[in-house]
Amino acid sequence: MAGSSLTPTPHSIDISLTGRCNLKCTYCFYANEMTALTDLPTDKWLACFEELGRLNTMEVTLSGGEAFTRRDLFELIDGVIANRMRYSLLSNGTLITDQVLARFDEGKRRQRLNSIQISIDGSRAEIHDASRPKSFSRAVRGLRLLKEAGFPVTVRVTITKHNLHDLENIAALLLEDIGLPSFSTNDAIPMGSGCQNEAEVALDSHEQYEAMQIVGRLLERYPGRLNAQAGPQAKIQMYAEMEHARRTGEKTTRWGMGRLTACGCTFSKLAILHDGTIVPCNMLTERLGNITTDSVHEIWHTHPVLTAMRQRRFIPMQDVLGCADCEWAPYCNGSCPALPYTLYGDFNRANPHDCYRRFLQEVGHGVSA
Amino acid sequence: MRYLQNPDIVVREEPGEVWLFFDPDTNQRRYSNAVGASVWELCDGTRDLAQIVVEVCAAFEGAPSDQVGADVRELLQNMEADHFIVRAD
Repeated sequence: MAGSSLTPTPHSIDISLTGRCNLKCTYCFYANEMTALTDLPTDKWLACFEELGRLNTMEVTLSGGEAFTRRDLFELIDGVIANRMRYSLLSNGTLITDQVLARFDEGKRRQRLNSIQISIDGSRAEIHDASRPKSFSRAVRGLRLLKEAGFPVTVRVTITKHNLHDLENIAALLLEDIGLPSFSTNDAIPMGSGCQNEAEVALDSHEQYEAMQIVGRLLERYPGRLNAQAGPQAKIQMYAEMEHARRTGEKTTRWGMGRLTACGCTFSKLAILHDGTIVPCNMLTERLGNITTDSVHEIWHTHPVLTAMRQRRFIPMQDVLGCADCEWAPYCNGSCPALPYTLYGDFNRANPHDCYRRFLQEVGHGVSA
Repeated sequence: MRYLQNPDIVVREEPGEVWLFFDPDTNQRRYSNAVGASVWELCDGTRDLAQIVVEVCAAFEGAPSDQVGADVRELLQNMEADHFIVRAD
């Protein structure tokens, strides 16, 4: 038994439609897959969407590579719509033009669009382009076009060594100049290109702490307008809750403290790589099957890797390799399993990038200091 | 008056014997119980309120028909307001 919260079929699927990308970002976690795998043709994706429709999947997130490099993108979007799903798009924004936006006016393409996320990593070209080469002006042009046309556009800022001290300018650009209601942040992690370029792009613990302080100031200036599922902003909340629980004995209800409860995605989501490979997550690319040969429904219910991932939440942190003697183990959840899987080939390990003990050792004080 | 399902609506059985009604056009989500799911299933364009009540009563043995009638009427009104069903007539 994986647990009662397992949905009968996936609510949503993250789909990398293509391995092609017109950029070569320094921290791209998908870089290895992009070079190793081949894009599925249109008909295979349309057949996939039919299967997802039969499974009553409700939404897909379409990305790449760069999704807009696919000439058949709108045909694929129509396939999503025909199978009673909504969709989101992740894009670098550089291929967004008035002509592209006009194509969303056909049928229900715009009605079914949840969001389109553009990556912006700097307030000016020299900073943005340091991690996303030669793309700032085109990305911001695309973002402005989307905003002005009333699309549900969002922005993700990946915090790196390059833009750490530009965050306040980035916030001003996005929230004041362009007028977005909010934006989200995360940070570069050592996967894919981010592994090769870790020393150049990834934040060390001191920089993580500095990023937390900067984001904290930005939240005072722009209440509720920055959000995060990962990275410094998410970590400072997680660490603060761990400190609070240790100090007071009151454990948060936001996650299961003391066990490997992160993350819960395998209970309601799956991912598909651009060659059709079915994986638990596009960052955790353990092969479960392929949409051209295997049943998503059968994999969802019977694949031993998914079962094992769903069982992680029963593993006490004290039983996790490297965590037995950690005083924070009763309050930790191990964080995202994708990085330990990449580093050690084992998702039943704690994520070293998010480890609070390591943070304390390297920074010398906690987040409440 | 007979009722017909909106063919775009996705109905999912979720953990805990809960049914999720999802309208992909509006992103509206509503949760229902087994009775709601049964009523939805019966909206195939051939049945009116009275016929649906009879079949729900038969499916949920022991349920008082007056109460079932009121509940089904309210369910149908809500489903119609949410565009989960339309009138077939």
